[in-house]
Amino acid sequence: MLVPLILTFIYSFQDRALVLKGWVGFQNYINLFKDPYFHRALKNTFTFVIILVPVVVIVTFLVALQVSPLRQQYRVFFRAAFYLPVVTSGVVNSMVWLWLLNTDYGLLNFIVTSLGMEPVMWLASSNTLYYLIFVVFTFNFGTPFIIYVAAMGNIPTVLLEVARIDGAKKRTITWKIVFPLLKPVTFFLFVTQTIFVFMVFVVIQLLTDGGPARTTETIIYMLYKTAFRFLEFGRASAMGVILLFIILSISILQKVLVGKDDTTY
Amino acid sequence: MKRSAKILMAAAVFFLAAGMLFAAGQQEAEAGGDVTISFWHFPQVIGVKGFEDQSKEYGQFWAYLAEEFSAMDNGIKVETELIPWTGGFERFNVAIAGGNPPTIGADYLGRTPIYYASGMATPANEVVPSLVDDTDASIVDIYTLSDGNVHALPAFSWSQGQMVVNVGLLKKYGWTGPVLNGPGQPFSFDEMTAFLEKAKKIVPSNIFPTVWSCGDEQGDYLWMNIFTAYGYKPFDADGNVASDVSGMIKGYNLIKELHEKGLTNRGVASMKGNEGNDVFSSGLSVLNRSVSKSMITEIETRINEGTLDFEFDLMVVPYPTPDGDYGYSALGPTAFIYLTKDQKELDAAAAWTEFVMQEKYWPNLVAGTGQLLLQKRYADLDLYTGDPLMEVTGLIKANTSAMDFGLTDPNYQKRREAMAEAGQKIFTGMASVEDAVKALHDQFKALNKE
Repeated sequence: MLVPLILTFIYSFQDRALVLKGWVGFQNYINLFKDPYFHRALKNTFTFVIILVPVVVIVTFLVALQVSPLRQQYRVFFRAAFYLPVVTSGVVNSMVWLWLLNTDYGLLNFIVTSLGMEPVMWLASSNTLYYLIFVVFTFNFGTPFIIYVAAMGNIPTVLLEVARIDGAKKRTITWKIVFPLLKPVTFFLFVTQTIFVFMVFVVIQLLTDGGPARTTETIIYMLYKTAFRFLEFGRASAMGVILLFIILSISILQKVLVGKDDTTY
Repeated sequence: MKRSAKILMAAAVFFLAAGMLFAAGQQEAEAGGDVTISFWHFPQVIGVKGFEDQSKEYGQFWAYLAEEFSAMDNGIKVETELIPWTGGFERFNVAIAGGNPPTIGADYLGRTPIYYASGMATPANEVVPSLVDDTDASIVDIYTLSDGNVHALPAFSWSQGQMVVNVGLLKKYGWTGPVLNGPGQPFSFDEMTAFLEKAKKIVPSNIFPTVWSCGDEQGDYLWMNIFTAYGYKPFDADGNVASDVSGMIKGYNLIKELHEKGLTNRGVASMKGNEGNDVFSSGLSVLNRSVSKSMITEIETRINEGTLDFEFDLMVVPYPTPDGDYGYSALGPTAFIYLTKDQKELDAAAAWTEFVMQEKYWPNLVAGTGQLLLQKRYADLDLYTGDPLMEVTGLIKANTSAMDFGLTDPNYQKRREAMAEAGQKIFTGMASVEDAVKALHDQFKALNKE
C-alpha cells in the first residue's frame, strides 16, 4: 500500500507518459487547476457526494426504522432483498441497468412509451448525471441498511419502553432517542459512504463512459482515462493526490463535526 | 548454534545455490545462442481453414504456430499470450510503463503510436524491411512517420464502413420492389433517406425500421466516412488538423436531421458504446454490427436457438455519399509493433514474423479473423467468395483509397474522445452543430501543439 502511495506522490511531479520524460515540479497541479474538464469533474464528484451520501444515510435509516420492529422472517427477507445488489458484482448490476435504461428496448422506456410519452435517452441527456446518481443509490443501499438494522437491534428495549411510559411519541422516540444513540453508526456510514461515492467507477465506465460530452465524468474516472487511455501518468498521479487530500479533509471534518462518540446506554 | 542462526545460515546457502544455478543457466542459454521472445495478441484468430483442429479457440492457433516455429530448432522460442479485449490496452500500457513489454505486440495500429512514443519500439522498416515493402502501399504511406519510419507493421485490416440490410425482414412486412441499388452498389444520401422513410412506414414501431448494421467495428470510423464523404479531410499534409471543417458540419447536420426524424438508432446520440457508434443499427435489428465472421456466427446462433421469427436475406451495401459513389475506405489494421532494442530479439522477431506470414498459414489466418489481407503477394488470392460482407469490403477497397485518420499521431485517442464529445453535445442539444464543431476544431488545434 505504502509503495504505490509514495510513487504516486513522486509521479505527480513528473512528466511521465509510459516512461519518464522529466521533472516538472508543480506543473501537473497547475495545469489541472486551469483545466475546465477537471473543474467539471470536481463539480460532478461533489454533486454525487452532496446528493447521494445524505440521501443514502437518511433513507436507509428511515427504512431500517420500519423494518427493525418486524418479525424475524420479514427482517431476514428485507435484509436479503436490499443486500443482494451489494453481493452482486458491480459489473453485473451495471449491465442490468444498461438494459433497463436502453433507449430502444429498455424496460424503463417500455413503461414510458406505454404511457404514451416519448422515449427518454437516459444515458445521453443533460440529466444523465442525476440518473446515474439514482443507479448508484440502488447499489449503495444495502450495506447501510444492514448496519442500521443491526444497530437498532442493539438498542436496549428498556430505554424505548421507559420513553413510551413517559408519554413520548413515536417521532420523539425516533429523533430524540434512537437517532442520537446511533450517532457513531451514522458517522461511520457518512465516512464510508463518502469514500465509496468518491470512488464510484464501474457504473460510469459501463453506463456512460463519462458522457454525454463528459458531463458525468468524476475525478476518479478522469484519473483512469488520463492514466490508462491517454497514458499521462504524471497528470493522473496529481489527480490521485488531490483526491486523497479531498477525502482526507472531508473525513477529518466529518469527525470534528459529527464523530465524537459519547454514546452510553 | 542458536536456532535462528541455523535458519539464517540455511537461507544463505539456499540463495547462494539458487544464484549459482541461475547464473549457470544464463551462461548456457547465451552460449547456445538461444533467445526467447514474447508475442502478445488479442482474441482475433479462430477457425483457420485447413487448421480447424488447431484453431478451435482464440489463442490456440498462435500457440500452435509458436510450437511449429520452435520445432525448426533455430534457437528461438516464442511465448504467445492471449490478451483479452477487456483491459488489454491497459495491460500493454502497464507492461511498457513497467519496462517489461512483450517483444512483439499485435495491437490495433491506432494505439501503437503511443507505444512507439515511449521510445521502446524499433521501426518495422528496420526489423522487417521486406515485409514492409510487401505491404499495401497506401497503408504504408498512411502509417509512415515524418522521419520516414513505419512504426509498426500493418498486418491485417478491419473492414470498411458498410451497411447490411435485412431484406428478409423488410419483405416480411410487405416491402416490394428493389432495395436501394442492389448488393454492393453505392448510393447517395438522398436515396438513403428515401429508403429509410419508406422502411419506417412499413415496419412496426416496436422494431427498429432500418435493421441495418455496419461492417465496421469502430463506430467513429463510420462518422468519419460520413464527414469525409462531404469532403472533410481530417489532416493536412503535415499531419496537422485541417482547417476546413465544413464537411464535418454537413455530416453532423445530416445525421441530426435523420435522428430527429427517428430514422437512426436512438443510441446514436451517445456516439459511444455498443449501439451509439452505429448510426443505423440497434439490438432489435438482430444483426451483429461486427465483422463478417461474428455476424454470421450471431445469425447461426439465432437460427440454432430458434429465436428468429423472420428470414435472413442479407444485402450488403457500402456507406452512402452525397453523390452516390464509393467514398473513402476506412482501414484500421492490426499491426505488429516491435517493443525491443535488443538486436538478437529483433532478429528473432523478424524470423517469427516471416514465419507466420508465409502462404502456408497467413492467408487463412487472416481469413480466420474475418479481415483483409494487406500483403501484395496475396493480392490475387480469393478468400472471401460467398461471404457477402467481405466481398463488398473488397469492392470498396478496390474502388477507393485508404483514409488517413492520423493514426500515427500519439494523440489519436484524444482526438477520438474529442469527436465523440462534439457529437454528444449536438445530439443532446447542449450545443449547435456549428458551435460543437468549432469547439472540436479548437481542441484539435490545441492537440497539435502538444
